[in-house]
Amino acid sequence: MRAAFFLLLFPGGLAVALEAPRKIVDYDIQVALEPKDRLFTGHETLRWTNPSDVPVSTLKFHLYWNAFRNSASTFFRESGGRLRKDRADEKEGWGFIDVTSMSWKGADLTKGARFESPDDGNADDRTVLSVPLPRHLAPGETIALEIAWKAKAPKIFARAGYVRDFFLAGQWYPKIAVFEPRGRRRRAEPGWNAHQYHAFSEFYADWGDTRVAITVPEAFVVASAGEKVSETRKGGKKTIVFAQEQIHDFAWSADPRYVIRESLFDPSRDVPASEVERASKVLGLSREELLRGFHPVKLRFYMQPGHESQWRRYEDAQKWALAWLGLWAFPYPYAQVSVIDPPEDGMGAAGMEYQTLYTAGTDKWLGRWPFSGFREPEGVVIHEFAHGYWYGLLASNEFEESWMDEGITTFAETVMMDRRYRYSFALPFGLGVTDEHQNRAQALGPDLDPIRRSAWAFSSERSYFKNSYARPATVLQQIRRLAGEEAFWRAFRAYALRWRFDYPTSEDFFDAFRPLAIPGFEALVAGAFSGTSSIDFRIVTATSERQNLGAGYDDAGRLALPPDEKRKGKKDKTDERGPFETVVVVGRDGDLVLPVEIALTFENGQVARTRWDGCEKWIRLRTVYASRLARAEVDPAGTIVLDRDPFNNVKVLRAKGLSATAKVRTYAVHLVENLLSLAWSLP
Amino acid sequence: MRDALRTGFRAMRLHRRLAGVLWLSLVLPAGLACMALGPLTRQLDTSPFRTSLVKGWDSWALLSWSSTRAAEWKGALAVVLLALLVGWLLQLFLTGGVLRVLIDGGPRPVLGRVVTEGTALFKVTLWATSRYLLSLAFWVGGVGVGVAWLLGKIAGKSAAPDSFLFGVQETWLLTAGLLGFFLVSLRFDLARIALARGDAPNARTAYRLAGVRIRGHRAALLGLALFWSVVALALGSLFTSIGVWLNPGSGVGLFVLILFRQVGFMIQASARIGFWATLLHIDEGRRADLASALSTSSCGPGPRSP
Ligand SMILES: [Zn+2]
Repeated sequence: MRAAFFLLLFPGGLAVALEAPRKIVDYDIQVALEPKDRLFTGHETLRWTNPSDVPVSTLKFHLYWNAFRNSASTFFRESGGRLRKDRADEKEGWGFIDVTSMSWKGADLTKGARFESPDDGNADDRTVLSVPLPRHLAPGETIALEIAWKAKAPKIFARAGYVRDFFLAGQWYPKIAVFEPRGRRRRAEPGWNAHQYHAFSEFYADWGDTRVAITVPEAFVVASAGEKVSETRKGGKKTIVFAQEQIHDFAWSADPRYVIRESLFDPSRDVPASEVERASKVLGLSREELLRGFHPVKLRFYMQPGHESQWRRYEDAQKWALAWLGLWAFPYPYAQVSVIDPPEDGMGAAGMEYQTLYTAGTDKWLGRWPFSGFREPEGVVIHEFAHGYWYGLLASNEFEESWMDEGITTFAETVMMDRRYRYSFALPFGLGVTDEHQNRAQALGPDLDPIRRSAWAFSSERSYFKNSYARPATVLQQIRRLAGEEAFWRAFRAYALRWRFDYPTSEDFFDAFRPLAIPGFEALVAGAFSGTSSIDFRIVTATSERQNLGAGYDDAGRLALPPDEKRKGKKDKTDERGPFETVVVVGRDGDLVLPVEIALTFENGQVARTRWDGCEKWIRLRTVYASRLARAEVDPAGTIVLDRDPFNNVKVLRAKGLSATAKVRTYAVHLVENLLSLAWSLP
Repeated sequence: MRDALRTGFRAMRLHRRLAGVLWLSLVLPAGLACMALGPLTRQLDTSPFRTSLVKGWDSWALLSWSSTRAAEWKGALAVVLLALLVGWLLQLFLTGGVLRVLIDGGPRPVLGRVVTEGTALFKVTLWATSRYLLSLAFWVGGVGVGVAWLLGKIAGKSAAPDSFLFGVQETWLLTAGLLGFFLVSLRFDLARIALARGDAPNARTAYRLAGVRIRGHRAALLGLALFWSVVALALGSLFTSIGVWLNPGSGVGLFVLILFRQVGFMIQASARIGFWATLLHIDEGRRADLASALSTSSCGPGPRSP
């Protein structure tokens, strides 16, 4: 009803003209799902163009589902059959993908094909297939391959697979790897970029058009990337065709129990005016410039029974993400978004990004008081949809630079979450914690790895997650604080616009910010992205004493006593008369060098501010002033969000007003009393 | 029912000193917790968060505090848990004395009497408590959770999370769990009353007597218990909400907050006195009923154990 109404308002319908800067690989796929045996039988016509200036004699393919083939795969060895909180079913949960035929102009290519393990040499890994061609493929030449395959869905624990009759087909078809031409991602020589499927790696692929015909038993509801083209039924089965131009990833899902909810993102209504105004001010663009390119987007939510009521939460977050990313990066170019709500026993599939489709995730309890203040469902929607930009529309290489997807996504997520919902965990009485602070807290503590590192090369799972999500998100917040709002967001948007439908690398991101000459920026690139540097500012000492001039022998040989000695035994007001000599030593622990502000607050209320470049390990500030020092603070504005320990940033010599200690302690004690009095509320 | 409630409300008015004694079971452990929180909270005044915390809530203060001082937090939390345990034991101890005073009236000073009577009853109360904990483990843990677990097993791995059996499981856990908890707790309460009255020499007999007295009156007892639960929860949330809202910014304000909250806890304590008085009233009636039933069956050997 509502969708129809808005279609009237936009007589052009939802057709969106996509620019087509790159078209390297097109897929035309037919796949049939046999739910009972969890079998996918597929055929694809793959049209690939050699994008380089050298001839290519071998093709490389990703066969991702072979990660679940057995416990000898690299994925299994690295993960131990566990990802996030989910465990593999090692009895019946195995899955695989077998290419049954591959031909080019009638020539069988499978004979010379062999598996490769470029990353770890694991002879048992079957996730990268290398296929020699009978002849070289010239630069710019297009090859059309006919590939047939059979795949068995694994029991879901890592993104894709099945649970009962829920199926999530992600990275499910034989996918050609990326042949990077000279200059792509700053590459000196052209060559394949084909990594194995690792426990902590995600994906990287080439742009093109994909068309998929999916055949399933009639009872199944199919959710898919792309736009539905047609649907036919025959013999208890139905075949639905979906197509999408200009993507590098295509996922779909089937479940007979899906409850579909539809909505429409209408820019004239769903882009908050306050956000347009804010963006206009910060980015220096007019309203019209900002809203150019926005268009209605069809939203489909495939909900699990029992979660239906929560689709509104998904919808709100989805619309907000479309608005925010549209303003601060660029308007979403596709015509639709499909949101999958996975079942509670298939949460291994939750929270995963694909293009024009992603999986969210919630629990029925989150739809009820008092758990509704936990913004997990909104957070997942915002995070996964943001991926649609930093992995989707800017095709980062998640194998080699996971932060460029997860880190930038997490950063954007924190900004979106906190702006829209204030707290990601809202507690009663208006208390709560923000998404940014949660990530910042996770980023504290020592590191063994730099942020920029191949996903499988981190020292531990924990280190991978910290350095792909929370730490880069916090480092970006640090850059934002150092650059200032205007400079930061203009560079951020410029990066997004320059690299949409392209393949950025870390250096491209840095280059977007370099012209701003942000103080400390190169230190962050070297110390955080390429290193493990940390920083902790602290006040080492702070003293403020009556100036001790004139004690000792004067020129006439008379001995004068110091003022403290004179007043011995008699305390009077004159002791508080200045001038006072104030000496403050500020230190920097850790090897990350960032500039910082130091504020000295005197008893008369005057505040003296100094900037310190932070280059030396410490600095001594000395001043003689009429008033005594009350408080010395380094980084009073909280600009250094990477500061390991904010608690040592202050030295208080004289405090006025209520004690925070007393107040917090009082509330904590009342909480204890509350808990104890709970026993009086029960028989 | 109405009579019992009226008795409860009257007791709330009459026995303010008793409520004061019960309130001690909050204040003493709270003092312990306050000391434990000392070293942890002391850092706040010398931190950058002093001003923001005096103003109100600070999300980053909490998160950076707990993540950079994890060990100190753990230590403080352990002592707070200890304080909670101490408080619970203190409540058990004081409740025995409170019941005696409620039954007998009796001379002042109330605190002295409660402590004396509580001491006399404490050992046997602890026995009854262990019996109570066992019953809880059996009824709530065994029957409540056990049946739920069984339902999950029957549903099997192939059942969807929203399938009928899982719905039954959830409802069972909520209702049967809560019902079990209330009934087991009420029997424990009646056993403690039997002990306080001197009707039973030991915990086992007291429990048996409580079982007899509860029989046939479960609904009424549940209703009354529920009533007082609602009253107590409402009072608790009211005073907590106002306490948070007060958000003092000065020493005087903080003093007012402390005073206000303690007055609240006192009122909650007196609602607890009301609850006990109500229960005593019902128990009195049941006791009289059972006694008269006993006297009419003249040739019987006395009440058979259930
Ligand atoms: Zn992510």
